[in-house]
Amino acid sequence: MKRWALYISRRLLYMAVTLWLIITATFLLMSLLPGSPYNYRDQLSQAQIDILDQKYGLNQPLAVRYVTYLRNILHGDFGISLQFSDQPITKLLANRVGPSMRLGLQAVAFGTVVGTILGVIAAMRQNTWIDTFSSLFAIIGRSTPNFVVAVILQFTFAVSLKLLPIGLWKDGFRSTILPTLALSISPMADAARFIRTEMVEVLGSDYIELARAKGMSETRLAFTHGLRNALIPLVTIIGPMTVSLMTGSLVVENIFAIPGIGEQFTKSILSNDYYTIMAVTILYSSLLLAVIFVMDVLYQVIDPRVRVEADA
Amino acid sequence: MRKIKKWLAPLLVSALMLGGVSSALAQDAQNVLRWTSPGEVTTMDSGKSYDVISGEAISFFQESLYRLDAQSQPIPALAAELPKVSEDGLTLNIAIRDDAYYSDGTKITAADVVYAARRVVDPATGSQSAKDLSFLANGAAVAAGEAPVDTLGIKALSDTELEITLTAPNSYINQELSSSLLAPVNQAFAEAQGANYGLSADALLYSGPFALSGWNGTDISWQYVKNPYYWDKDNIYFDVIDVQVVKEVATGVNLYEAGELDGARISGDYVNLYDGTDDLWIIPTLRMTNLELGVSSSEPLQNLNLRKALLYSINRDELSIAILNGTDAPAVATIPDGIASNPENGKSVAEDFGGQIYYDTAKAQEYFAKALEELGVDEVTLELVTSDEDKQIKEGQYLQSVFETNLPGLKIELSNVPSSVRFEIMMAYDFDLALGGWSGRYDPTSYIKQFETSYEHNHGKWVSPELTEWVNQLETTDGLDFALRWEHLRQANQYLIDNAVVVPLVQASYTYLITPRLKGVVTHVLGTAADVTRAYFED
Amino acid sequence: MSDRHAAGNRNSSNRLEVRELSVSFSTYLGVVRAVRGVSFDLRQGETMALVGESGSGKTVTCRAVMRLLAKNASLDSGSISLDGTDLLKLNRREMRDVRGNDVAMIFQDPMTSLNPTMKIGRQIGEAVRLHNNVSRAKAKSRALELLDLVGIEDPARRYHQYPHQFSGGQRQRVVIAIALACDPKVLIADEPTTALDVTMQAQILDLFKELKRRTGASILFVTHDLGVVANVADRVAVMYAGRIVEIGTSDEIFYDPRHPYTWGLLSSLPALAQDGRLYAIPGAPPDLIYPPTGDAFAPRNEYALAIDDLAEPPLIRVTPTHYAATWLLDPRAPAVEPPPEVARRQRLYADRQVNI
Repeated sequence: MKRWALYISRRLLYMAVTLWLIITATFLLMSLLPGSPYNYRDQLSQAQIDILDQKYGLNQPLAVRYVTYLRNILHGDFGISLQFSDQPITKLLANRVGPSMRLGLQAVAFGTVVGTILGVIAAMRQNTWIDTFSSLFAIIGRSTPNFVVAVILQFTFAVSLKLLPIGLWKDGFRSTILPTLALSISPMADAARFIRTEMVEVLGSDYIELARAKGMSETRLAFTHGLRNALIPLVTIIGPMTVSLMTGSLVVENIFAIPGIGEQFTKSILSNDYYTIMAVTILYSSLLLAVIFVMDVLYQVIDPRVRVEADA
Repeated sequence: MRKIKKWLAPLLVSALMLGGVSSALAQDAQNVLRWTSPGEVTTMDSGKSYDVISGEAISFFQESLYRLDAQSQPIPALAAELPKVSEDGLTLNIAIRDDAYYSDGTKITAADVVYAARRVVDPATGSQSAKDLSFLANGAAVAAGEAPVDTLGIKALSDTELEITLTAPNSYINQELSSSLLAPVNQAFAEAQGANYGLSADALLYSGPFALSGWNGTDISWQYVKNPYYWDKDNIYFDVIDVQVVKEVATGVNLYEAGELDGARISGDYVNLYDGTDDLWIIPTLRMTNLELGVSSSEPLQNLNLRKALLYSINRDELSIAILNGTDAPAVATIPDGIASNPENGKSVAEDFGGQIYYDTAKAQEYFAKALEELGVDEVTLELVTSDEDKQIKEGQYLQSVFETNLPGLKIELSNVPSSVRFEIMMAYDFDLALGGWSGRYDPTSYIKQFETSYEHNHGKWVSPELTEWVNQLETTDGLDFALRWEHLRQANQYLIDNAVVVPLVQASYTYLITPRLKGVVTHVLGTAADVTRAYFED
Repeated sequence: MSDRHAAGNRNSSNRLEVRELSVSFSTYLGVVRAVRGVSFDLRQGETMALVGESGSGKTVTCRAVMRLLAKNASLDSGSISLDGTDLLKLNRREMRDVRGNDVAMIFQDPMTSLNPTMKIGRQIGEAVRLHNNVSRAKAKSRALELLDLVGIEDPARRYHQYPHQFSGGQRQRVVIAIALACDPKVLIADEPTTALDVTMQAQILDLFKELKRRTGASILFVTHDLGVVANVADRVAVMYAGRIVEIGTSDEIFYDPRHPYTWGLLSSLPALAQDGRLYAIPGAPPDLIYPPTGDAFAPRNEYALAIDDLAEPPLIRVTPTHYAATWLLDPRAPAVEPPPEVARRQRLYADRQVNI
């Protein structure tokens, strides 16, 4: 138990340091962005810009701004949005993070589960038409942008067949179905491909042969003995996959008119909304770091060979 | 267990049906409009609004001294009547109506308008629209922090009397007074809210036909609820207007066709698709897109014949219809059509100034040949800077192909950069060609002023004493003599075209799908393109 | 002469009766005829060793009994009867009921035969529960029993450990425990000691002897190492190029071998090395895509006769329990002198026979 405590606290320290490095690097890079955060730049006079800069503290030297910012975030104050006229950024993000996170998690969960099953079936029926179909599906899934899938789904199920809502976030779970499907194609394809490759290798292992010699059926073999070993590489990519889904869902969110956070990132960069850029960066980085940490712990649960040994 | 299930099912079904029926009935009892917005609002604070989307939203629930009809003529709103102007045109007295109340029943007084105006120019507020009130005396000084807020040229003589002092006589003062920047703000309420004022629906008071509800800063859907204290509430038909932000045009169209929205903003191919139907509305705006010429930093462009060649080599009809799908109309002058009309005969800008900008390849090639000769070169290379948004990229590519095809020897290099970078480049006064533009307000002078020698945003740094003279006259001596103004505008426009100082391209319009059931929609060239506050369903 | 004599007729004391088993594999180079008409019996409670070099077909034969052949394998002909039931005629589900239950297998490499992410206790318990509808607790107690049987110390603690926490020899014991889980009638051990070092080898062989005594299972022991055979086997079958070339009791094979190949095998035992030089049978096994018409061993056989190139010798009887497939046993064949060491053993054997 003590080993675990030590391990966790060490990891947390690394995460904090990494986050700090990311914050610093982003802050520096951001200060190099051309342009200013004020709209209609072409209509404001320099005098007016100076006044606004002063109000938002943007006229101070970089080092001062940096230290002030760090101090503020340690107190939980992430600043105000310049784009959204002084809305506190924590409120801004808190309102919009929910839907994106929900869609991201649903898409990954659904996608990896279905993809895993497809991958297992493909591996078990190696080189048959099922395998070929599954590979084809994986390639198409990987290459098709998720917004193309989104539009097709929307047109088929919402507009033509009228089975599901065209968009908006008003119908509870039903509103999430089509966007989740659209976003899940990519993780599904990845999972199917990964699992298939791993399973094929695992299914050729000696211990599978031994289990077969015990009199186990092929399906049971694949799912009890094979899958657990094949999952390990997949666990590696699930974490970053989830985070990238949450960040990359902006077009899908727009297509279904969902109040997510996807657009915030790109929009804030394009409009030089400094504090929003920082806050969103911190949010995503923290998520990613947390996810990687969870994955490392999960590894140890799945694969006992990698465990932090409590006793030799 | 089975016994219970037997009567449970029919009970549930009837309950659901009753619920459905009663909500449908409740629905019918209310008049609801399902409206749309192309993006989120950046603010609902009337004093800080600087973009079109927020402005449109605010116009539902805040009312200023005047509002404008479809011809941009003022109608008294918070004001009881048109202002009384002093002889020298510098002082205005406005009577405020006595029966105006906020959405919580508080009376609206002249002091509220004063407070609102001061808020806008106060540097502490940080409003990006502070400059828009510089027509008020000391407006610029206060905004620059050089004068105290109470020196602003606006005073409350009593609860219902307002006195406004101007920097200079302003021919468009009635239109300026319709700005939502002057919508009343109750000082006590605002100060009580402190930093939270305007950041959510319950941190605002509403003086307009509706009250905002269900907005807490970043929502993509909210409602306008009929304001029971509004003085003109009998002319307001809708009880609730549901607003849904839809950023993807296709989704908006789908929702409209499915009957889930009563209106949708469209663009691109959809304009062609709905051409000729009753649902399509094309509403011109005052946004001009121009090809700006960096005369000061590009030697070839200092040659008049080269500039003229560029001016006449563009088929603006083709650009408008084929490339921009009819969302923008060909420019007729350096001033947008619809901004004003000739006071003597009522002719529009197009009718009176138009016909100067046209497409004539032969003529263009003639000018170009002369230019090459005068410059002593066989070919000219120019860099064209555009933003990296779809529309601008398309326009840039079109111009490149047109120039290179029609004027052999002219080579155009495209540079697509983020908007903010394009502004930086233009403000550095160091470019050849740039896709720029201007969105002015009611006074056409601002379109001319773009090229005035001392003006900060004269990106090509064009020098012309004549232009400076015209601008001065328009801003000072011309005053309310609209006939004289019109003449000066005509001359200035002619000058700009004769010297090909700029190459006007197109004038933007908003395109909407609006359900034909909806009547009473008022269109504006400035501000809310399709104003549905006083609209109604004709059933 | 047919091999019927070697195998005998259906005998109720036979656990396993293999008749004319032929297995081939279709590869992209052609059809490899790996097993070409193998017949033998495995009696109740006896341990029989299948000896031969790589490619002799011994592993394929075992796998055929388990019906665990690769996808490109084809059972061309023959039958494998377990207590009267022809295993080759069972459908997949019926065979699954047999596998691990009546016939169990022990694999060669203990380092890779166990699932590294599953506790070994569970892996053993799984074997039990696949064929017996018992509770988890019952399966666990059986697993502990088995761990004890195969000589794992502190079974209660070891039950919860993972394979990587065991040494190679211990892992092999676990594999054996798994095989024994359902009290199989036939135990097939495919080179179970090959991957182990000499000390562990000895331990595992001791374990086998112990198991033989305690469980009464019939054991089919595949190996290429004659030294191992001597320790555990009751009977020995020598395989070459997909056929059994000599079969007999352990004593008969070791002390009175009649087939030149067996002579070669015995001569290559290091213990019999003459003046520090190791003897190896020259040449290599034949290509089984185009099997030779005559005796497959002829090209490497210094005692080959002309007829060896023309016709394959049948199994010729030496004693009721001892058969060898060599033309040398034919009455028309000339007398030959076997290699010195073999000759020595034969003399010893003959003496013993006389004295009995």
